[in-house]
Amino acid sequence: MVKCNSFICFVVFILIFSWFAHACFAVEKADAEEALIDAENILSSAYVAVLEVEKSGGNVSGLLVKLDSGGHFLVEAQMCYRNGDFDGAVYYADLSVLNVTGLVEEAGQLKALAVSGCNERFFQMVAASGVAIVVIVLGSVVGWRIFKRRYFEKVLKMKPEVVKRES
Amino acid sequence: MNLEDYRTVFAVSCLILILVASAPTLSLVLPFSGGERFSELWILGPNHMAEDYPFNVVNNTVYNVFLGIGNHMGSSAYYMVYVKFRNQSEPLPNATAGMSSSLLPLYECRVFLRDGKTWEAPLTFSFSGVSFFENQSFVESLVVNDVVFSVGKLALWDGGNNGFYYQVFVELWIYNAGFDAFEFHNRFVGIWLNMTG
Repeated sequence: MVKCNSFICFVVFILIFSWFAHACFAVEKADAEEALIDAENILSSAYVAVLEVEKSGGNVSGLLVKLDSGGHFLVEAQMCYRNGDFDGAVYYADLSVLNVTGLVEEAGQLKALAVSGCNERFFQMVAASGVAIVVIVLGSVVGWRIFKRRYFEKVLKMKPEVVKRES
Repeated sequence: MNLEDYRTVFAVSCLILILVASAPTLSLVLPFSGGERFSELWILGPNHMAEDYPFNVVNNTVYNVFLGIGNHMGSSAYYMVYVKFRNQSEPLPNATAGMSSSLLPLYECRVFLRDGKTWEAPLTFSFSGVSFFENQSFVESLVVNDVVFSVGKLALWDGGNNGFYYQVFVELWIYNAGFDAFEFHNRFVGIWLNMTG
């Protein structure tokens, strides 16, 4: 009799647990919305960071691949959300965030590298241009003087000729 | 030519050489516009050509097209493509006002694209729950890239063109970092579909 009561209690407990488990563990629409907004914001911030690296002259190919996979998971999350699958929406939104985690920091490092490389290239370019301009100016001055001397020599060597006037 | 003429030639040559030598440095300092900035959006048929587009469609048959984007914005861009479905009476985007269609998007794609690059992906779609009643046709669901969307779309018989016409169209949106939001990029393209029994 005691065993039978225990069994009934166990069955009732299981039924009650399964009844409330959904309410306890299921993801609600608001949670899914929040996860989607978070993922959206993180992806956008990462994109802005990548854009800054690109403006600094850095190579963003690797970062764009990560952004793409983050975007792909965010699309999956949106699809799940629109079809009422809030668990799926949160799962994919988290995956999206996971894909771009650390990307902003990586972008920051790449930007610093790109800026220093860009500065170095700029100074090299300015120095090379400066040297080239000085060489051109000096060359032109020297060239002009040589040309002028030869021009006068040529003029001085010229002899006046008497030309018979035809009338 | 007298000496003055020769001097002018020397001075002009020297100036041209100086400009050529300083051009690389000037290009780093002076901003150049780099031409017109725009994006491309296209739909190609199943053979990657602008032909053989699906037109007469039936229930439970899968149709393939290719969706493409080209970036000529001068920097990497973050695009969003919305796939929408309408009947003849529902609104298209307004290109003059630069407004997107008020219809809710069904499917979407997000693409990060470098300047000068293109992106292309297959877009498959099929219809289910298609029914006809007198001068009306009804589409219960649209399946885009294996994702089912309940659309419940009605189309009236178009006597002028002899068909029940629907349109699958895509809108291109671009992320504006200044506004921290997506904005309609004023590009859309679609294909007309005649629902047949």
